[in-house]
Amino acid sequence: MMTEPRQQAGPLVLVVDDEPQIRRFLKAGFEMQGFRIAEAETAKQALELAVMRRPDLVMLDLGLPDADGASVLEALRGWFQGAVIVLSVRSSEEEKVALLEKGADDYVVKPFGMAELLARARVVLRRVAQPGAAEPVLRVGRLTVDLARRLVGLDGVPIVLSPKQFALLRVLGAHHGKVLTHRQLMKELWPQDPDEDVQYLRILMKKLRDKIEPDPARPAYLVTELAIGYRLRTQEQLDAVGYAPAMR
Amino acid sequence: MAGEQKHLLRLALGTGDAGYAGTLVLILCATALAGLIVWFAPLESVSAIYMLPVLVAAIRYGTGPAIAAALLGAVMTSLFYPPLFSVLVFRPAQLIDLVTSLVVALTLGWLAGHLRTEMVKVREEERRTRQLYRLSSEIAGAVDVAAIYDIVAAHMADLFGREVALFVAADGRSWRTIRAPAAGAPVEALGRAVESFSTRTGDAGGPEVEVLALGSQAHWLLCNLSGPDRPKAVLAVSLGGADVGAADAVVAQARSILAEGEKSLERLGLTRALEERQLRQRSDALRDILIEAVSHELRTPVASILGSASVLLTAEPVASEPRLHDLSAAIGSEAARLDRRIQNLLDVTRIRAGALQPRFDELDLADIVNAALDSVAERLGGRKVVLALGRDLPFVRVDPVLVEQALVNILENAAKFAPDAAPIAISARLRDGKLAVEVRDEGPGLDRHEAERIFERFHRGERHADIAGGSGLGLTIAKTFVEANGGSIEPLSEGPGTGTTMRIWLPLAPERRLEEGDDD
Repeated sequence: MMTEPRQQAGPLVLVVDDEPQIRRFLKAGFEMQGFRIAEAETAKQALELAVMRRPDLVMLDLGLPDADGASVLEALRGWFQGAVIVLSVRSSEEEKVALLEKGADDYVVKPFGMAELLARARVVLRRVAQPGAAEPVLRVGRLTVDLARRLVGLDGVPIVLSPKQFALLRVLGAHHGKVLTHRQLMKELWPQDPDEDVQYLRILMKKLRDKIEPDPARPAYLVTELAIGYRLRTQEQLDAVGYAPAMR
Repeated sequence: MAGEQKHLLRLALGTGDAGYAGTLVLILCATALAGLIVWFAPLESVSAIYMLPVLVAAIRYGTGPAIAAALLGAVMTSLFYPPLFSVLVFRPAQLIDLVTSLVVALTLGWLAGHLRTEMVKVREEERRTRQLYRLSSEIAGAVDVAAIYDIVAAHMADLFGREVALFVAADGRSWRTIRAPAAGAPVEALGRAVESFSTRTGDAGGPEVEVLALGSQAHWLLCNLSGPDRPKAVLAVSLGGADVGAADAVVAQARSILAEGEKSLERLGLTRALEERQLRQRSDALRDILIEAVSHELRTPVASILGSASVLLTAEPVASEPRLHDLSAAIGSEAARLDRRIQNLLDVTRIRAGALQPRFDELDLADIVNAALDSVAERLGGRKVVLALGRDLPFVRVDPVLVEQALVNILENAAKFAPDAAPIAISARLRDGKLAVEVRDEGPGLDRHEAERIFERFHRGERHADIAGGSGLGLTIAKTFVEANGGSIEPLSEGPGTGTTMRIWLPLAPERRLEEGDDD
């Protein structure tokens, strides 16, 4: 654990929130883990700082005094290559879906703990560090996925997947740890017909879980984000939730 | 408008002097015509020519001028009987001409008069319809009841050409003036009179319209505008000096306008609709402000506390000192608990305000159950959860977020009352065309009285007062959320000490055949 702030070395996080107390604990939490911090209270400041400082990650609160989060995200996504995590409130699933599809990398729901946020931040920063290139071999719990060689194994025992099932796993693996909305997945899997019934996706997911989840009734790796989409958990995310050791 | 009325009056009664003058001109024209014809071609009788003025006068001017035309015509005809151009000779044929003309004049005059009356009626009807249409379209544009009364008052003032005042008493409050009478009017006396008039009209058979004398020079016509769905309102029209004859006409007019106005208002159902809309808007706005304020003002500090505690947990000095670590963890979990309580209150507010709008989706129940288990994982501690969801259950059609919250509340409740070591079992199966989800705990169970009361708001089991915590809202919210999805929830217990099963019935998604892909 890092206790000494490393002022220059770590990734730069731009915290955009109009609440000083929220910014204060985010600053402390990130700095203790070796991140550097820039703070903005308004959408205007946020965009200025994003241009000037080029942060690796933007933590974007949706309730800014001068603009809504969606417009800030749109303004950023025109040119900004870094990651964006949205700080959202409960009961706004449509808003979350819209923001994810506009290019947000992930969201956390207030109130949240620092451990959860850091886990999300590391996942999205990894994506920014190696754009386009996913890890060649993914490991979560007992599951291994070799994307290049199209090999999937549970405890080293090979599993045979249909092409469509592997395609779903590959898309989620390419964005390992990140939630993908139903629509984003439909676009990848049925590019010629992305408006097709989302039930196809649900049935496909059910079959994939049956093959790779140790307990398909209680999926540990392929998790559902209700009313939003699916996520392939990273080891760090898996450790953060309380599953029986058998799955880790 | 007054000019138009005079014109209509003249049409109805027939004519003035202009009619007789016109008749004279007509007779002169006919005489000239007859003279001309006789000059060129001698006729047996010219009486037919004199029928023309009678005809025209009857239709144009009415019965009086038509009779005049008949009499004049009879006299003039004698000019044309031999000897020509002498009026002094009387012949029997002339008598026949005269009688014929008179009969024609009377018949046509009556017919024409009748037609004119009909026409006047039609025009009057049309004018009134136009006015009511204008009135109702103005009312439709009004944003509140006060504006409606203002429009009605302006309409009355316009119609009577007199000064108008309007008094309203809404929701049992005291009377207030919407449109004040002109300066110098005895406002207090008028107000008192309005109040007593309104009380009397409230009784069955009370007057709708009444003339009030305030001293010898100030007469007021009071009209009751109240209705069953509207606030009490009285319109006062100033009649000026004591001209009782004129007042009678105005009273009659006012009655008919009120009757028509009432009809049109009721037909359009405007007043009620307007009030309901206004009430709804006000309560929606209040609810939104409340939810917004509570969300932001209460939850933001809680988010700061929870976040700060979580940062403390990662700090070396805290992590290495168990007591400090426990305290920090407690701050975090208590903040999370407080946040859930606030969320419960917000949910109840939404339910009570009727703002609960499910967003239906068709999905696997397992997804909802797992999301709920993830949400409560921390609060369940190490407690064992036994899942028996059954393979290949059909999809349910629900709002997943609401059902998840219902399950979270039920699981929390089960965890609160059941002994720590006892597992909680979740099962689901198909029954009677619905999905029955059961959450079973091995807690203290329920007696019959408790089974009826557990869903009541703020109810907390009396036998378990020692098990602290809880607002008594959790199960109320769970029940409402499940019911909003077209489901239902029933507590099953074989009595105290036997554990409790919460059975949730959820509607299935309509069966669909999806073509199989390349999957096996």
